[in-house]
Amino acid sequence: MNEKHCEDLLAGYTLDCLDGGDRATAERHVAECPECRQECEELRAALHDCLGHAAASGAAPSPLVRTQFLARVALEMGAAGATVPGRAAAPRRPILTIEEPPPPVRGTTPPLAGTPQRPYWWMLGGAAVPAVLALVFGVMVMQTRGQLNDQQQASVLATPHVTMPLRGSAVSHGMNGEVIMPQRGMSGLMLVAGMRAPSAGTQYTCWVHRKDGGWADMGVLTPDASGIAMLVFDRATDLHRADRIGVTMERGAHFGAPSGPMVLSSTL
Amino acid sequence: MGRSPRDATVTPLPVAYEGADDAQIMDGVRVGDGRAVAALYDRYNALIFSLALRMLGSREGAEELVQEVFLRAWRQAASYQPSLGKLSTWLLGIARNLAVDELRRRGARPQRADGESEEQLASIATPAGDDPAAQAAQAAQRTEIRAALDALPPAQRRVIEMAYYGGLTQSEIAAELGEPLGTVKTRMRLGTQKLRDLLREMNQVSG
Repeated sequence: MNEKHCEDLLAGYTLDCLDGGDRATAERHVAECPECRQECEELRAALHDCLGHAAASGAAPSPLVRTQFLARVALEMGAAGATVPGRAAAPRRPILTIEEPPPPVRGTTPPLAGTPQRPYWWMLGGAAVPAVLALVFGVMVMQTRGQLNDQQQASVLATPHVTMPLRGSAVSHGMNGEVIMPQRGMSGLMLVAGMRAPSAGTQYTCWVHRKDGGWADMGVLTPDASGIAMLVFDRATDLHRADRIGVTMERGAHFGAPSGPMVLSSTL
Repeated sequence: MGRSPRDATVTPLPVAYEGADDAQIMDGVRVGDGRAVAALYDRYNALIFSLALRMLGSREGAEELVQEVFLRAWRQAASYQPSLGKLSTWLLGIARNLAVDELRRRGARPQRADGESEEQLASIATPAGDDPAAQAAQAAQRTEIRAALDALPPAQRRVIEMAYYGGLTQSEIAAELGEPLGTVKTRMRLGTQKLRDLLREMNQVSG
């Protein structure tokens, strides 16, 4: 292979645009030639530095992407048993479980969290899991606040808000999550992790139970590929007037009341 | 009876990585500090999103890719070596590889392989952060990079952009342009080498 042919191949190899035969030739050569390997690294860095940055348009992804990304990281961290990349894995266990809270003892403050679980070590050592989940999602939401001016969630996130871990019967389904709502005012959002894809012809429907009785349909929860779903409640929803939130698996019309099996139910 | 919302936690904004350099952030990511993961995302999400948007042509696809890029960065943090390149270069490499895979998987071509107006992209994008200093720095960097790209002969620039953004192979580029394959290869070689040399000069001047 002469020098010009070699350089032609390297440029194409660096751009990952060689056709089959050329690609194999280049791969063999680069594997054996340290100088050409170095040349490839330099060319590749130049291309990314130039064309990668040239694509910058001032655009940014939706704040929900950030939330979902951090939620997935949080879940992976927990699922790995508090390990980090490159370190030996500890025994796997769920990052979070939702358990029925112990009955409150008269005259005492109800516990903030349920049964203490593995500490959410990277955010806060030694804390009970639900409380730390509140911290995690709280942090994520607070951080996105500045980006949400014209987003649907702005009404929730632009004001002081509270986060409440979901507690209740979802543990048997492996779900966990958080309700985030303004300290005062309407709307709110719910994050749920660990959701399985709904079976054919069904969908997850979210409900809140009003303190004065009756369920209200909050909308459909659609989990992404990682099993995380987020639902933003509309501006007419006042979670302060609700005492329970639930998710049912609905098939077809439900005529304003839950008709399918309740897969998540949590006190608010 | 559930506890009152007033009993729940209101969390302050973490500032541990405010002003940290890339190496400090990656050190934090490697040891599993969630704040570092968030800082990594905050610093580079717009850059990665822009590239993904240009390559894939849809906001939905670009957002999925952004998530995947940062997940890979988190999972493979131990493999990043600052001595081999900048963090942004590493992330862009991950993003570009994933986008090319996606384009080839679809068997589709990007909506914007080259030459389309930025207004088209702006119409499907939301503005990045509103930090004036950061915006000014990004604008200055873009100006320099545009200058380097503009210094390339248009024919060389075109084949490089078609390969980089469009994920086209050399033979596909040759077919699309109606040029001999050898011509495409030569233009690609000359263009990439010139870009590298221009960036070297820019780095020497600024460094």
